Amino acid sequence: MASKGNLTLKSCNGKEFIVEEKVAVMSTTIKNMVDVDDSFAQGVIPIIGVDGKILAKLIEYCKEHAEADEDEEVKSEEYLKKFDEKFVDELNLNDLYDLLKASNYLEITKLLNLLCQKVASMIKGKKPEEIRRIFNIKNDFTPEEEEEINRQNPWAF
Amino acid sequence: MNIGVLPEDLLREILVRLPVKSLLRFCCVSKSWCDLINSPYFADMRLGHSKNHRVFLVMQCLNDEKKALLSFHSDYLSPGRGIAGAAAVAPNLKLPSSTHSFSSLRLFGSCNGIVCLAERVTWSNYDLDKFWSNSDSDKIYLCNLATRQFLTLPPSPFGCPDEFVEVQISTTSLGLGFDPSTQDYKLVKFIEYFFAET
Repeated sequence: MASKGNLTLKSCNGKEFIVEEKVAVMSTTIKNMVDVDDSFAQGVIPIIGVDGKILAKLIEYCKEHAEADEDEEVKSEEYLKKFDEKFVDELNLNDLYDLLKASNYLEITKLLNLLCQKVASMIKGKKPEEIRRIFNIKNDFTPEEEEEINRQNPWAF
Repeated sequence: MNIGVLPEDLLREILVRLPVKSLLRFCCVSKSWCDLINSPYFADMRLGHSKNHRVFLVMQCLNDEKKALLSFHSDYLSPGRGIAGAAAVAPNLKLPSSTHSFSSLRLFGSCNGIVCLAERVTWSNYDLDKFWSNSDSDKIYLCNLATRQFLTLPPSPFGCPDEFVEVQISTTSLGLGFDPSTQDYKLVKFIEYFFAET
């Protein structure tokens, strides 16, 4: 049971995390749950579809940013920028994918923006066939159709 | 490396952060990617994203016998450094082949990345007979800098009023804007007609 001002978050594989409310409500989804139903604030909030490893990562991120919002002197903009860079650089692709979906579902906007930017810079210079491999996409164009699209914008290739 | 299938809203959030060059290349990834990238909703979303950049445009016309090029520059990549640090946003644009007078091509305005160009009509390079036969002398072009597409506008449907038979046209003034109520661009053109001295 979490003490006052704290919330208990439970991952889909049963791991519980006690976090300060200001950290948890960085997630708009959690904020709405707590605002609407007081029992969530007292009891355990289940985080559906997010396992313990990913939830720990999310909490790590939210903690830094919630503290920075509270005290800009201790955690400056410069500090946060470095933290963000390190945070995304250390992720492997599986974690990146899971975090993207989790931050989207939990509506942690800042983190979602950071992760989308990371994926964008990863794929920016890639060829279409590499993109298909990365995102598991089947090419449903005929060779003629593909040729036609390429012909329209030759400078992009 | 493999990320796996992403829901469409997430994919859109990622793609909106890509440069246009990458987006045009990725149109051939699959039909659903092509539809997503070409949708008006995505275009709006992308415009909202890029509005954070301060952009100024410099037009540079190179002109020789064989080729005509147009380059646009922006300083948002190197703020505070002025033109010296300007980055090319659309270098070496190929002009439509119908353009015949590059040195008189003038930038009249821009809106949401669409630039309005027109061949400036002056008395010295202006051919009266050609004008009456809907000539090329007052061609107006819209250029989408991001996709490098040119659109040549049709000739104005408004002719010279009847009582102005002998005319000379002064420099045309143009304005380009976006009308949210029709979700389309509008062009306003001013023309002055004079009685010619007899």
